[in-house]
Amino acid sequence: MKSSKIICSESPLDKPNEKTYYENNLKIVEGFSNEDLKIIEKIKNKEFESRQIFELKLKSEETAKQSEIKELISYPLIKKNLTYNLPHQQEGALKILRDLDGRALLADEVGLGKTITAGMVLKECIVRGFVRRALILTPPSLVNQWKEELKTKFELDFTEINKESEWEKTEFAIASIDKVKNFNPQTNEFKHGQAHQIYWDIIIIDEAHKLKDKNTYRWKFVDKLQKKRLLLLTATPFQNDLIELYNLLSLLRRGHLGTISEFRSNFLVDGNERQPLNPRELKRKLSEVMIRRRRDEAKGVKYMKRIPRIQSVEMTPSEKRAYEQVVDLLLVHYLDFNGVPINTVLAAHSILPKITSSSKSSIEFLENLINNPKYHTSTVEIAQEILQDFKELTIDSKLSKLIDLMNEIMARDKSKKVLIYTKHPATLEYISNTLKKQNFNVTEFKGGLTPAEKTKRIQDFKDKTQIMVSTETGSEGLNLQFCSIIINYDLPWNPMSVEQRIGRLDRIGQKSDIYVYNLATKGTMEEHVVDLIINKMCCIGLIMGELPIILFNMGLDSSGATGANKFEEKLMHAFIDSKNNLSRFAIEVDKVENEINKGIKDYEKTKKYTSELLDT
Amino acid sequence: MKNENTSKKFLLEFFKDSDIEDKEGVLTINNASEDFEKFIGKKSPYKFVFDIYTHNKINNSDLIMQGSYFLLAIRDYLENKGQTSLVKIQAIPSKSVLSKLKGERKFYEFSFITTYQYLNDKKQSLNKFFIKDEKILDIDVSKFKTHKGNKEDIKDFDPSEDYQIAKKKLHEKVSAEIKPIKSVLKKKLERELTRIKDHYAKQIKEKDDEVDSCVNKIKLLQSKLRHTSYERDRNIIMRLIRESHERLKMLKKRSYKERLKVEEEFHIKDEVEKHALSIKNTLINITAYYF
Repeated sequence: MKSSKIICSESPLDKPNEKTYYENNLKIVEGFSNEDLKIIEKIKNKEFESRQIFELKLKSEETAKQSEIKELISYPLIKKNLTYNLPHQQEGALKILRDLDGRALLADEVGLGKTITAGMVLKECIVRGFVRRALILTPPSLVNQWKEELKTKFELDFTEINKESEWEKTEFAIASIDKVKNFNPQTNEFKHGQAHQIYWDIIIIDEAHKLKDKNTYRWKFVDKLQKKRLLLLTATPFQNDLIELYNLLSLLRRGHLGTISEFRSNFLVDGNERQPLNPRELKRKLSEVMIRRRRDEAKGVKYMKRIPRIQSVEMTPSEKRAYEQVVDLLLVHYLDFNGVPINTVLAAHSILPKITSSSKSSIEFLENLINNPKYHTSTVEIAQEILQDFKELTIDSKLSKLIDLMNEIMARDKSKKVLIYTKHPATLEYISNTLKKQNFNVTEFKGGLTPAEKTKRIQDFKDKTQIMVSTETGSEGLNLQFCSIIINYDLPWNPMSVEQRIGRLDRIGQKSDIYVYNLATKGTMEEHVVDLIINKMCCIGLIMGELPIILFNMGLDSSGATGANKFEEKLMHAFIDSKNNLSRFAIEVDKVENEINKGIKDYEKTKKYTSELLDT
Repeated sequence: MKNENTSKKFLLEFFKDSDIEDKEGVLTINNASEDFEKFIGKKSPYKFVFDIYTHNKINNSDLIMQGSYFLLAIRDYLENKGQTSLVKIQAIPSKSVLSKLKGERKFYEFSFITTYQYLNDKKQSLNKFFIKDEKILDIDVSKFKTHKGNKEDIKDFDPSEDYQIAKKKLHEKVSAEIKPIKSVLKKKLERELTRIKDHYAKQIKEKDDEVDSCVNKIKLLQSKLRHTSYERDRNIIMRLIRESHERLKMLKKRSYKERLKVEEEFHIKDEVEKHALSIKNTLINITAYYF
């Protein structure tokens, strides 16, 4: 047996006097605690305690004694942080621990809360003292969401691994699988090979269908991890053919479906990798390592519709002029101190959203530019002129539209709660002040609030105010199921951020359909972006959690060259290439839309294929 | 119900110095000791319930069941408490017992908790040994009249040697206790190892067969070549021989046997680790008895 350095295992012995021996391959580690010697010393020093405490202690050992896993003893700890009780999640966690020895493919349909089920397994193992080192590998865009869920629902702190040196010291690690799978062909080693030196008590891999090809570094990286328990989470364990399923199960239990030749001859119809020869037998084999539940089987899960509403904003001629000037400044006259054009993609990424957000944030941008010595004098002069134009604006059409919309909503039902999102703190203040002047009760929610302040403001919104204006920063992890109307005052160009905004409302426990209002200024690129992200992506009837999978499958959820999300970068490039010509921009957006449609179609096909085999 | 009674009785005893209210299935502890509140990180009152139905009804209640979190926390709170005690025996019940207590006027009771952990299971056992002058005492102390001892009554205490005997005895007991666990684990492990070994043996055989078939194909083609005189056919056969040689070279170059062996060892090791049995022996108390 090849020896391998093991940094830590789940052995419950704390630096004990231990010995390891083998009986017919069975490894036995037996040890005594170092604490024993301290007790002997106490006796020698005549330090005696009450015998009654010892007797109480014996009773406590008896009552705390855990028997075989029949129920989740950690559930009461989790339950208080969940706003719902879905029996299938507990049942799944129990089955994984009790019947599958903690190695399983959790293939529930999207929307049943695979993350929660996996979290329950993890928490139970920790409470029972089975797990000291845990690793979670997720798609890049879901790292933060996982961290947040583990923190808020399971009270577990996971540390994100960015550098190789961080592995050894991190007991509860989370990492983007795309980041850690990097292989260096020169040294013939994985960049994060340190992860392979650790003995993990549990590993959870989200969206594991990406491990379909055993010739990829991603698959090889996972295969080399030493692990006692392994959970693979995916709703679609195979996409194109059954060999993918074979590869996935090879990670869980090598040889479970035989060698690849045996698998082909036992389970595939004459070389057709999509058609199972013996589906009943294949399902039986799968049931030994897999849990799969359909949404229609799960009790207590109700899915609400997302109803998109685009509110077109017509700019006044002066607003339109100011807007075009500022875009022109950005695309043509954005020069550094030496007169060299500043990287347009980066500029577009950081500045465009501000300009489209509100006149207030445009003014803020221009003022910062004017006061910053790093810009060329000609750029500053143009900015000064535009700033003057902005300051002379007497009407803010977008804000007027928001007030009209709010009046309309309140006229329909005064008791409705409305969540307004903006990307920028300056816009938040601007909106909030204006709404207050219009006699609306408003709660502000932004980054930098203490946990106590956050709780208070949520409670205020729930009990007292009609409106909460929020930025994304700081609003991670919020459960606002009591609210069913969201207004995107401005829209991030990253659909994942939009999903997260809507996700604050669209959660298990939401009782009404969700209205997603979006303000889009006519004659600007915002009109096209809103239509694409809202009408063609976020509100097309997908279940919460499906869009991230589609983007992950398409490779669009990781960072691009500028550090921005790849999807966002695509739109930025489209905008720059169109040189503010809206018709050209619209054509580019159509191309992105076609690409997304193909991704959605592929995903639907995969779902259907998976369901045909697993659910019939 | 049995679980409820045991746990409830224990909680009543543990919180006996606090205000306790027992109403409609909810045991409320009103003023737990500050020390305990600090340890557990939660201020009293604590509302203990003993079934999930009541738990769902009562806000902020703690569900108590065998091995539940709160009971684990109490156990941890008591972990370093009650480790040593001194007991004076008032009267020896019979002459036969007295004959066992010859020599020094004191003996020790060693109490160990042994935790067995394997797969997703954890079992515990409590073992007590009475030892006097490095010898095991077969004695039932519950028959003695005892009270709290006075440390000035005995000059010195040194249980070190007797502790070694207790450890040895414990090891023997543990060895007997783990027999059924070992048997289950060995069976399970054997099944997994057979799966892995079979899988890799078959894989190697499939690769070997592939090599053999390649070699045979080359031989056959070479024989054909010897009996073929048409230039065009010879060219085709020679190309096929070349291709088969390349295939053979590729198969051998990747040293599949070594690679598969390494993989097999990795998975065997993984299963061995997964099925490992960990035994933790903890001395939880030494009681010195004297008479």
